[in-house]
Amino acid sequence: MGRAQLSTTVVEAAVGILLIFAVTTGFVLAVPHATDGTTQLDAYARDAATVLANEPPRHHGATRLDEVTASNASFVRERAALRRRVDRILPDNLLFRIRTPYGDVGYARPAGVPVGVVRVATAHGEVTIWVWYV
Amino acid sequence: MRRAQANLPALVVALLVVSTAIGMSLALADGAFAGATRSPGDRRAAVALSERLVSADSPVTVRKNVLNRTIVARLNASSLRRGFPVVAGHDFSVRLGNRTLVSVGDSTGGVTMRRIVLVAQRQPVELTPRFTGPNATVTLPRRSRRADLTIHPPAGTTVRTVRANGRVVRYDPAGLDGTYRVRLARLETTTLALNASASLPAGSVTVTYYPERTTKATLVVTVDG
Repeated sequence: MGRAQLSTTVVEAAVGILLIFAVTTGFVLAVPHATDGTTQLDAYARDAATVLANEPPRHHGATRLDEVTASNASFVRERAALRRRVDRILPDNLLFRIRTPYGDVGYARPAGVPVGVVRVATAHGEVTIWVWYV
Repeated sequence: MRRAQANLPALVVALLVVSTAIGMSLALADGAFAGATRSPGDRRAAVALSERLVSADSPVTVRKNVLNRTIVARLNASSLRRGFPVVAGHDFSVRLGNRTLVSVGDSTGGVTMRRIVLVAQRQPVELTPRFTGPNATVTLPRRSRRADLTIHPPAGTTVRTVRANGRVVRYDPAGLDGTYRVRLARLETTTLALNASASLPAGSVTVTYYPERTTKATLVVTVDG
């Protein structure tokens, strides 16, 4: 009968294609992807935190990070200087945001770009630094 | 037998479709592998060398991420290979800012790690304080890890005790006279207090301290093959 029956060969081919794509999916998903450069960004963030944690303060306290996190008043006094200093420390192709217990300093963090992050503990709370490429 | 005839074009179409699928799959898998190949050996060596160069116990740092300017300037290929065996067998270069410190072989096109560092240098600053009264105090304008005190009191006057922020750093019941090195705390501003039996005239005490001057720089480590 000339009924519209799908040829066995074509059905076999369809099954074969499914198998082939199954194997391919394994390759594509299982192979580790190239990291999006966060190793370098994390290193930048860590270095910036280390440098800040080692710098003498402008007025009081043991280090600059300590001074910034000491109280709300000292944060408000130091935020502009902190922003200038971190701008100077980081290479020109980086932007940053610093979160202290009393508020944030720096630029708005964009979505969907690789970001390096470091968290350092201070006597008055945690300070987080994010950096990303411009 | 019309059905058997119809199978031949179906077979051709099926073969065509399957080989197209194989081609596409190969291209996809190849792309995935190409993305994963990032010379892991070079990357590991670059990350490790940069990490060890700036670590606190590295021979070129004063403390973490702070390089000693004098020692860094003396860095060469053999001392780097000895101190950091991770780069043995690799071509590599180490740059500070735009100055190349060490370059071994051809490292263009390798894996690069950049680290933010401070380059520190200590230079002596001399201070001759003026005192009024027998209890003389002087506050060092900048923080310093140590200070050299030269005390030459006039005849008849004795200086028995020197305190740094209340802590006794020098004491001699017979009287201090000469040059003394005192260790100070790096994380606090220091006030030196001298306990003299009478008022000290100007010039009888000289303080030399060593404030740290730091400049920021980028340490660039490139490792290839």
